[in-house]
Amino acid sequence: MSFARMLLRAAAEIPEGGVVFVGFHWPMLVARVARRVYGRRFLEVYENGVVVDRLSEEVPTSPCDFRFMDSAVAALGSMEALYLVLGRGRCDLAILDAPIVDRHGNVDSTCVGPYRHPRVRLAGSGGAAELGAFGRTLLVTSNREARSYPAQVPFVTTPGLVVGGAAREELGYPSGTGPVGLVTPLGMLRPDAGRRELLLVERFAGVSPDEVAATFGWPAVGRWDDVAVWPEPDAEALALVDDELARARSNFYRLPEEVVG
Amino acid sequence: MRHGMRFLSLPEMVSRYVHSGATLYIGGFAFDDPLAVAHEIVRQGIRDLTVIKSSGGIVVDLLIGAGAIRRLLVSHLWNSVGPTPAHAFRRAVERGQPPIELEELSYGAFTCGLLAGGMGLPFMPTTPLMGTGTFGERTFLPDKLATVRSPFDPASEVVVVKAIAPPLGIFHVARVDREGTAQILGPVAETRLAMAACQRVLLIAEEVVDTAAIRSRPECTVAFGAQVEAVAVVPFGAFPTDCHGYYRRDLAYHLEYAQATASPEGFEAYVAREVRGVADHGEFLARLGAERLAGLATRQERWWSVA
Repeated sequence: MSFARMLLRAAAEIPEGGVVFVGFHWPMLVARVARRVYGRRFLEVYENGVVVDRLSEEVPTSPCDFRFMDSAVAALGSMEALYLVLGRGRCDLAILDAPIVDRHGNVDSTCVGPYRHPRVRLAGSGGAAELGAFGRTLLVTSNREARSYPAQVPFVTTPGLVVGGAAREELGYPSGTGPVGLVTPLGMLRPDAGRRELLLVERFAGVSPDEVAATFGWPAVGRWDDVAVWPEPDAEALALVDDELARARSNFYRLPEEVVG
Repeated sequence: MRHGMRFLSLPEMVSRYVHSGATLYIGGFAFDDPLAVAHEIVRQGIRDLTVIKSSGGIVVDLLIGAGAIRRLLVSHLWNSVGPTPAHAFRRAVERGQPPIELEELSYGAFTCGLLAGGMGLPFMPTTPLMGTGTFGERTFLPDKLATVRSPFDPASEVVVVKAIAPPLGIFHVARVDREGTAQILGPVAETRLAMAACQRVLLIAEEVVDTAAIRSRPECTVAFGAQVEAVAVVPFGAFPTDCHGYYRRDLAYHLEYAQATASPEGFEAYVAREVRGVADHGEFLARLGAERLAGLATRQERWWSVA
């Protein structure tokens, strides 16, 4: 249930008529949910140069899985997608899968533990650095475990609000870019007014202060009473998400434990 | 056309051009990934390669596990179906089995480096990466990234990437004609930049088509014959990834590979059976079976209708 709510909450951020740079993994499902549940129309741009504006029958396993290419708007190259579209500021939103994210919205998709001697080696950047450098970035994290939310990530793959102690604007990142939200199984975090750190502004029903305190490696709540509650999705929305997840599973997606059951 | 482009078999191409210790760019970005080439490199016992590839995938995971790679420059490496761990890569980086030297760039910086290489320039401004681990961590390319003051705005510091200009690149394309004009029928990712950056370009293609088919879709051309050193025709050469217009990725094979290679012993058995246990890519495909391959095929008439 919390995974479905997370996808629905993230999908609600996609603007009608917008241009959205979609990262690999959950962001692809988020884009599909936005079309199916909210009926949003928008352009999806991928780092390999694929541009699409409608739903494919099957859930693609990655942007390089061309079963979703048959009605594509464009087949460009990476330079066009990453720089001439995203870098030029043509995207309203960039959605990024964030396996490990810290209080400043820095994302680590490279390693768990020290870079030279990682306990777990992850995939690495791909275009994740560009999504964070050039995009207004919506981060999506499916994990509930505290290890996904340290105060500081061991390796900054994608730059957040504050990188190595300096504000991103001081480091040469274009103004108006950076994380705009972090969707987690507990709720939505947003940058605080000073754009220094991410704070929980909306929670899902049933999420407790203790659970929040035990999950995030920083004080992620100002006043608990100020945290809004995201309305529970209706049965129709949940059924559509379930159908999406069934399609994803049939194409070998590894879904969170709670969904697999 | 007066150039030395020639058709070779894949084994001949690999033995003639890819030597132990060489630096090799491998084309493909999780599509057009030339697994046939990786298998042939392993069969020929080539080692100590410096491999440059944008997106790792099974091709690079296999080469790492088989001990063919000493140094690796990538932007990411995984088995994207699932996604599932790239076990050989993880064993190499987490446990040094076998040891590799790993260098990384973000995908954007990687493409900008290829653009510089392709233009014959020493470096290129790229994504601002200040403060990131990718900027800070350096191994065998200590000067991969730097910052320069903008000559047009002294207050502005710009991240630049050093040119990437590999001596040799091998790319999978959809089709060629007899003159070596090569086409990809879908997204190209960084292919054009990488082909320009490589000093010498080798191609593996699904088939040779009549030049009229090529000329009916000139916008799909990624290289013309004069840019190409040699071509090998290898049907399903990019299996199990997509070759747009010809076949889709084999999702199940990605998982079969991951399961088979989850342990070092499993990896050895897999290579003995699937790679060293066959004479060539044709025999590898024959074992997969015609039915499995036919299930992936997507050949669409629109690419062949000559107006």
